[in-house]
Amino acid sequence: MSVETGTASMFGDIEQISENQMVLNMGPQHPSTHGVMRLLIEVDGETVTKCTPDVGYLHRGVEKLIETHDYRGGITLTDRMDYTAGPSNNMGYLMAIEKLMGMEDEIPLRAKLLRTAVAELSRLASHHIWIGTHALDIGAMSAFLWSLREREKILFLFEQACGARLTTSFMRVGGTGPHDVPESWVENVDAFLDSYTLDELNSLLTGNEIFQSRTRGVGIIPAEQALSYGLTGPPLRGSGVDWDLRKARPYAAYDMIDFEIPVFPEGDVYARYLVRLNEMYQATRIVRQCMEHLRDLPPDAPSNADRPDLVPPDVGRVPFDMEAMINHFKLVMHGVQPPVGEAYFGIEGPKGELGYYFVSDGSGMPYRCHVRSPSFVNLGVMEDAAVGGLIADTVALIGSIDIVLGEVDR
Amino acid sequence: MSNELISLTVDGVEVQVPAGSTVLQACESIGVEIPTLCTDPRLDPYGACRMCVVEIQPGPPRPMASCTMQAAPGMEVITDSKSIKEIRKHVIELQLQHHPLDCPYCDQAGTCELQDETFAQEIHQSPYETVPKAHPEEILNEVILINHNRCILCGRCVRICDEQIGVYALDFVHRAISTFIAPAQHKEMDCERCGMCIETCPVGALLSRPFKHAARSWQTDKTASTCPHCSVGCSLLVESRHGDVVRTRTNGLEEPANGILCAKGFFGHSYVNSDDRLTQPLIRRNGRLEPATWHEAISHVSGALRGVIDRDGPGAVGAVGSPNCTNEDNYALQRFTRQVVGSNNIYSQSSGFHETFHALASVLGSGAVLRSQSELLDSDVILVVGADIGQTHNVVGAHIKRAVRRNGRQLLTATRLAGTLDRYAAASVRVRPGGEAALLAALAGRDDIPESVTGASDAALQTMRDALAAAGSVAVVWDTGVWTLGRTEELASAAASLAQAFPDVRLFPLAERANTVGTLLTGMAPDMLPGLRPVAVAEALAEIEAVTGAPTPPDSGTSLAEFLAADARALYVMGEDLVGSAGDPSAMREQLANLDLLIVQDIFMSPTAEAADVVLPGASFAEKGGHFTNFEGRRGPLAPAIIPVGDARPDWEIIARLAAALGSDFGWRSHEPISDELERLWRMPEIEGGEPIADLNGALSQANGSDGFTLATEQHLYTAGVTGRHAPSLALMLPDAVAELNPADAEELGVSDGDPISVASHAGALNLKSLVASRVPRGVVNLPDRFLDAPPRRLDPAGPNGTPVQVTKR
Repeated sequence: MSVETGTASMFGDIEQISENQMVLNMGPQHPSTHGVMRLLIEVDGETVTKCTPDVGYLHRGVEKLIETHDYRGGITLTDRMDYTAGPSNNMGYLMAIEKLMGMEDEIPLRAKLLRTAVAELSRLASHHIWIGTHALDIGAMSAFLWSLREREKILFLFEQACGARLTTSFMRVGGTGPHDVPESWVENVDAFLDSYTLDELNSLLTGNEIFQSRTRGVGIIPAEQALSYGLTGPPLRGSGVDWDLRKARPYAAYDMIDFEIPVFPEGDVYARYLVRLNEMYQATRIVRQCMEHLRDLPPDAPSNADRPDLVPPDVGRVPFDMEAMINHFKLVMHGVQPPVGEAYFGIEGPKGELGYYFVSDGSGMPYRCHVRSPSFVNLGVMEDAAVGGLIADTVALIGSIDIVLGEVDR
Repeated sequence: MSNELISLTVDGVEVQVPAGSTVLQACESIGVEIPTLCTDPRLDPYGACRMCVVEIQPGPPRPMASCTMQAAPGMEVITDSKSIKEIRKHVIELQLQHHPLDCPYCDQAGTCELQDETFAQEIHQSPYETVPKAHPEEILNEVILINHNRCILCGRCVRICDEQIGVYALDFVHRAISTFIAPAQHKEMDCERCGMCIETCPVGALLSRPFKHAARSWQTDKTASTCPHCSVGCSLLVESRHGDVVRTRTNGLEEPANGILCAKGFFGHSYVNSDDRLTQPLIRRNGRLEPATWHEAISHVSGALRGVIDRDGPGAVGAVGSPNCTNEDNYALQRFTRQVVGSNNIYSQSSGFHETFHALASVLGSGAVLRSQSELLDSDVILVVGADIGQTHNVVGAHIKRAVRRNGRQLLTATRLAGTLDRYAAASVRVRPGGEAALLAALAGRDDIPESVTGASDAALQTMRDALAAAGSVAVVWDTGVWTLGRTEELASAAASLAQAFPDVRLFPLAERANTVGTLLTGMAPDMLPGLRPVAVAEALAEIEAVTGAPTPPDSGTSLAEFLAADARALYVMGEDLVGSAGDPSAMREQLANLDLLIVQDIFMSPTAEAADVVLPGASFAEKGGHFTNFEGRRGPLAPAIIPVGDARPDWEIIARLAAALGSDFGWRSHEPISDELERLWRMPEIEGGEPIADLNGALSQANGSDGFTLATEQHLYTAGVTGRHAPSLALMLPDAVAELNPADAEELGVSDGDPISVASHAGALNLKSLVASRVPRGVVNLPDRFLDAPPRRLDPAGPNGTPVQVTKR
């Protein structure tokens, strides 16, 4: 017996199909869907027999909005997608544009190191949200409070670097942009790393019997299935596939850094938990190394590419130098104009492969922008992974895929 | 430029160009871009900026300006060597050393050629300390402003005013590093406010005061359109932003504008967004015009029209079209009236051009009229009679001046007032107001006309006659504005007699308004169908029916005056002010009051609209598509630049909706099907001439002056009727209705500029301000036409030009 899943909403939250079967409407307002997502679940008793994610409740047309802004103006839109990891979104966007303009090799080391460090900090920030809410979904309250306490420290570092905690719009095409991080920032990051600890969370959850019983052997995604759904990030590595863009196609300063990619073969919710937890340990390592490299750089190391035709001049010169004024005006008002062509660039975001695809028609605005958002792609696996589990397992599964609806719907 | 081709190489690529081309043109012909700052396609090469330098082999051992260097066979041109790039860079760097840091609030920023070249030449840092000049901005007149600091002394403003406009209002002042641009000879700016100096300025030095800080020029939406102000029909680029027309500019170098505009074209657009625009339909209820929805208005009008048709028959309904509306609007109105209402009582207001056209066509055939501007400018001798073309049709005037200087044409002026054309004239006389036809007759050979009639001495006439006799071709140009009222026949006869006295005389009666010719050709007459097909001819009716699929009533209507006096019960007036433009407004008002139904469709409230039962808000030129037909019969396209203000709708659309409400849907959802339909009916008139020339004695009887003043009247450069009055920038140039007096006469009367005076004739009196103007001859008082509050027609409804008047100080 089957039912058109779209009919449920017409009859309220629950529709009885037969004595044992009914369609359950989970979301769009439901605490465990991590935003406005709706799952249409067919259950036989308490066992899920079919699960259909219904997305689009948070659609704002970000891709089309980017196409109506110049390349610089689009930056502010990117951190509204995965708002748990704003800087990481900014980086992916900028690097795709840099590839479009063929200037990847001209980004100075300082900017690369800062980008790497900020991207890893935002991975930490993202995983803190995930670990807190995931644990909360399956009944562990303390982890949420402890996790967000640590995240707060990272947001403070973002604020110091660029003035914003959440929607950072950090850095510009060609480097850090007009505003580099303040001098004390490196020290503050070091101080943060010294005081930062994951062991609390680790000890609270990893060996926790209740936590394990809710997550081990639950929501299993076999490696083959993970690959066929195009999963990336922790959901992929939690199924035993060793694939990480930071190693596979190193970008920014990752080729200078010593770090490991945690991979767990079980494919269940617990394996994905372990991947992320270990990634957080690795992230602190990466940030620490970045800070060391930064400290080794000479004090006058450039933070922007030496491309005055693409990078606006130092703002300090603009009110005094006519040439700088004109360059600034042209680049700010008309924007940079990449050559006609297309480019795709993906980075390893906290949630998976975050890719930006641009088509340029030679004007100051992208002709087409497409975002490959990991949350959206990873969410697809729900259809298969949730089937056979209990309703309560669906909640654990959603948490372990780690979606953010701002990115799913864009 | 001959057709012979020479070949040279540019950066190793062989180029063939016509002999006489410049090196710059040779480079551009193969797409090699040479940066320039002082080049404008409208201007002669000048070589001021030195940006276009190239190396030439064989040639002088130094870089040469490619814009002034003529291409020669075998030349090798190098445009991108290192040293050339260095020179270009230095040129910009030296310009920028003293350039103010104004980009953030400079109107030109974003479209600034200096900015673009700085960026294109990859100049990113000044080798010098920037020390901006700090001269205050100087207001040159009501609409033009100069910022000397931003000026790069390319001389484009000076040259365009000289070469293209023939006014030479601007010049370089002082020398070397102290040079700046100022009104020529340090006098007060003697300027026609055409704005072309602003248009050509590559930087933000010459600025439009109305446009200052109004919008960022690169953010505006640009729409190609046609100027609505006179019958030259210049192509315009309408720039709009957020539903406001912010400025208009030239659009291309094609005929008829050839890349220039006049004051009305450049500054006269602001009426479009005037607060006084009609924005919603009004229906008279309990004696008052009250706002209504379109649904109400359309059903009200269709119901009322249906009532009149049922009660009094279709012959009781009439419609008046307008030279302010497009061909499509007028065509729609006449099709509606003829085919939906079933009446041939379709009119456009009395027009000097229409009368002149018919008079000339009956003598010389219609081929003698509606000739192209190029034929005018190619004539060996150009004779301007009556009104000063430099005022009434400024752009044609400018072209004539250029033709005289560039192409060796000879200009003869026989205008009532002095004007800038006189400077370029081989001979000029001040014709007495009213004596224009007599002067033409005298030129054609009559020698019995006394000087007191024409105002021209025998010697001056003989000089002109000699010039005409020596010419291979002659163009006779006259404006058909208000001054020809009551005289069109005699002027046309005199012109025709001139045409028969000399070989190859081309006649150019210049129509008054943007679409005066269009109203003629779209059949806005009770006896003429579109394409000037006579109603009385059955074939014509069949042709129309073949295209429209509906029959046209076969009986011609009566004239507007007869119609109003006799069986008129309902009148549809589109874009016209019958009361305001009548010789006797109160009589017209009374006639309109006697109607059962008066529908007025306009963009502004007018005395006619105030008397209406229903007022429908139409769209201005910037809000609709269609065509204006200019004095040559050329159709200039309009395109909607903004959506109509408020609830205003394009005129054709209102009529189409009304037709649908009356049961005949034309199927028009845009102006294009109307254009297509009209295209199939469009044709240049085919009228054969041959009637003998009328006796010219009548022309001689009138102009014997009295001891008072003689009235002269013609359209002023800064007046444009209703639209001009609602365009703030035009209203600034000539704020009040004036009477122009010669300085000596003014002194005798004891009046100076701005004093209130009264001009009285046998028919009435007008109170206005005096304007002391040396262009007016002694004994003449000139009333610029198309001021709403002082129509010269009031002083003599039959024809104000040449009427004896008394001028008194109030």
